[in-house]
Amino acid sequence: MRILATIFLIGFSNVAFGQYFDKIYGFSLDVTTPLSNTEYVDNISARGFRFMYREMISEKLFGGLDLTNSTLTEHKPRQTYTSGSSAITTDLFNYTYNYGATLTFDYFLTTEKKLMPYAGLGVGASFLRFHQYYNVYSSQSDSWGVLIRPQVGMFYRLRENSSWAFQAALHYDYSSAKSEELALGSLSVIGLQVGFVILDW
Amino acid sequence: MRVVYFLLAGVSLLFVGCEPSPSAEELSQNLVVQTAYDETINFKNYNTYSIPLDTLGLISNSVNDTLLLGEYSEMVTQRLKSNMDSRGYSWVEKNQNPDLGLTAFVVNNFNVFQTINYPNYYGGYYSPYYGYYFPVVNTYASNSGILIIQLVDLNQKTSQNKFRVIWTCYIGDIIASPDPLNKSVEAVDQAFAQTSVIGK
Repeated sequence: MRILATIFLIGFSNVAFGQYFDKIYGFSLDVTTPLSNTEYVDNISARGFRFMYREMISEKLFGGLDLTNSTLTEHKPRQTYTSGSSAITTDLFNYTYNYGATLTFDYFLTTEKKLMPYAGLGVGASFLRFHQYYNVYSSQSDSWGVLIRPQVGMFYRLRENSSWAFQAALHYDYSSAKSEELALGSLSVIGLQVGFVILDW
Repeated sequence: MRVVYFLLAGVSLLFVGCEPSPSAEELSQNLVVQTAYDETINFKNYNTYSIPLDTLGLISNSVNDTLLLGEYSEMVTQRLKSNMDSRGYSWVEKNQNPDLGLTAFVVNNFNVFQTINYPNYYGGYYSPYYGYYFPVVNTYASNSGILIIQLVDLNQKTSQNKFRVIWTCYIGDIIASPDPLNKSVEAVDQAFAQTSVIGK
């Protein structure tokens, strides 16, 4: 009986060990749309992605790094812009290249089930490159700022002891980076990330 | 170690190919038309103007010609004349003391850039195993052209015998345009449309 109990305990602990992870690597595509500076760009963009890395701090709290990139674009049809005695007629291709690096902490409601919802907050640096293309000419304005990113999401494992999972997350980004040349203020976007994560132990 | 690889992959992806831009075809569909006029001038005070009707000036670093002839020049100058006529000015020969001189010229800037890459650390290196390493020469060419139109007040001459430019127009890029002739003519109309002060 004692032998049976020992085998059971060892077997149980192996299952429990299979569910355990203390590092997370992830890659996701990011669909974003701006909430500010919409006179410059007001389109939904699927040109974004995120790399994430987390390490376990406590059973349900993980912390790590997010590296993000997204590009917002809009084509403004040909029109005339007048300033005093000067005028220019052109169509504009407005682009915002958005880079972010944040220190992010995610709190998981559970880390032992197939579905693992979480909420997190990232704080870090944002680099925005505003680029206007018109014919063969272009103008560019670069800006650094603080990036704050609250997010909610979930991992979904097909099996409870799987070492990888699907990921979906909804995030809001606030970047204090601005462009005085283009009279653009701080940039806010919301986005949906869909990807996968590797749960490592 | 896996962390390092992961971060390297992430940083590489961030900096490689993540700044998409519009295609050259999209960009070159329409010419840019930029104009500026002298706010101190009353354009109603002029009556006559002059412009050569089949010739454009040419400033180029790739050819020695200073005049541009042919269909393009004829179409552009005729369109300039029809716009000036429709604004109430009368065309005269340049020896008939016109009030205004209308000049139009193309600035063509042709550049060739070369970079030389050596496949090893030193140029002209000889290896007994692989032979002589030739440097790799990459050649890039850029070509751009702007049509510049100026309206000059021939009644006012400065102390240095220079005339006053009262209106300037830049139209570009006419080299990259898929239809430079028709797009330039259309751009000339646009230049006048966005300068409503020109007229009697």
